[in-house]
Amino acid sequence: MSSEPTMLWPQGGGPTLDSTGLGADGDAARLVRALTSDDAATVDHLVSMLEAGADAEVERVLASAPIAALDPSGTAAGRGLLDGAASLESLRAAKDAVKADLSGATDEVSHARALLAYFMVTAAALRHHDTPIGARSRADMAPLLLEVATALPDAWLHLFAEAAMGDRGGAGAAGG
Amino acid sequence: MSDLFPATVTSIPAGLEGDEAQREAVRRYVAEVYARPLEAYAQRLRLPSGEDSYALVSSLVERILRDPAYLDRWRASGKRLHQWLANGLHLELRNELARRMRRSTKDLPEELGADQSPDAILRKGVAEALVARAVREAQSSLPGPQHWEILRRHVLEKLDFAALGEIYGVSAERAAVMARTARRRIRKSLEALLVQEGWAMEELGAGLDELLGDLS
Repeated sequence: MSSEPTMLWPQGGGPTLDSTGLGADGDAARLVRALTSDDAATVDHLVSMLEAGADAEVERVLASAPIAALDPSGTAAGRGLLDGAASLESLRAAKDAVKADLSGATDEVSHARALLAYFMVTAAALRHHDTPIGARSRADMAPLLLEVATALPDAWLHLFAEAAMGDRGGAGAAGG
Repeated sequence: MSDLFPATVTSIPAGLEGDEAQREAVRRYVAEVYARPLEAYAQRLRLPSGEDSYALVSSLVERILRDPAYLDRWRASGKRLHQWLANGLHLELRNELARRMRRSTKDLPEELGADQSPDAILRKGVAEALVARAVREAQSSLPGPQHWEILRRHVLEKLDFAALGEIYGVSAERAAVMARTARRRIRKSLEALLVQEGWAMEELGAGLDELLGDLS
């Protein structure tokens, strides 16, 4: 080591946590937790699946047993969720059946479809009955519903966004 | 990927197996990523009066950059890179003190105490450097600064997407999508950096867990 240091690397050069807005103690850890959370992985997988064909996936989920059971005629389960015709009791029953599908899912695709069904019934309960029917509050569900919303066909986008927003209004309420 | 890292090189070990240009690029990458964490560590050492942490780290960085075999010796050691560099820092200090004080290095160990585990200090410093680099790289690939700001404020300030949408003039669901895009880009950058650090693709989950542990 010489008495006059060789300036081979710049003090202040290269990105630092401060320069990225993560300067407070614990900020970087909080960010990494958000990057690696189970919710993030689950939503990312569901959105990727929807981006490959949202209409077909929605139709498939509407035809699944727990959702189809919302409409005895077997043809209007989607409308029951979108328009609010499905009762809170029937939504709770559908949610319980979907949760069984979620726990029984043996692959990522089945899990993502069951998750979409779960989001559909919980969003309908929030939107039309102002009631969270799962373990999570509206505030906890809102980020997940909003992240998935824009990957869905318009009618479902509006349902999910309105469910997430509650009395603050729905899709487009805060601008484009 | 870091702009310091050659596009054809996927990791530090792979780069050291490459041609001289690739090996030099790896040495520059290691010097840049590890210099600041090493200086943070050096600042926690009880350095003898007259010793400067920046000068000490500069001496080690010079060795990394100028000695083509330095990182080969690290690979042969079987140690983690941060441990090897910490040892290198101690060696630089011992050599310098021995030279100045004209006495044997074995007389000096009591002057090298640290008040915190060097392993923890260095690992945290390196983890922070990697996160900062991942964020910076992701920022450069995003359409604008709002994506990162929305994610950052959602995670750190706990602002919901409705509030963030109002602040940034977009709908709540758009804010959520922008945050998700930023999150995915940063994770991808971070995973690429972990691969550069030598983690295998199939072990990236464990790499991220370890990085989180180092930050905590």
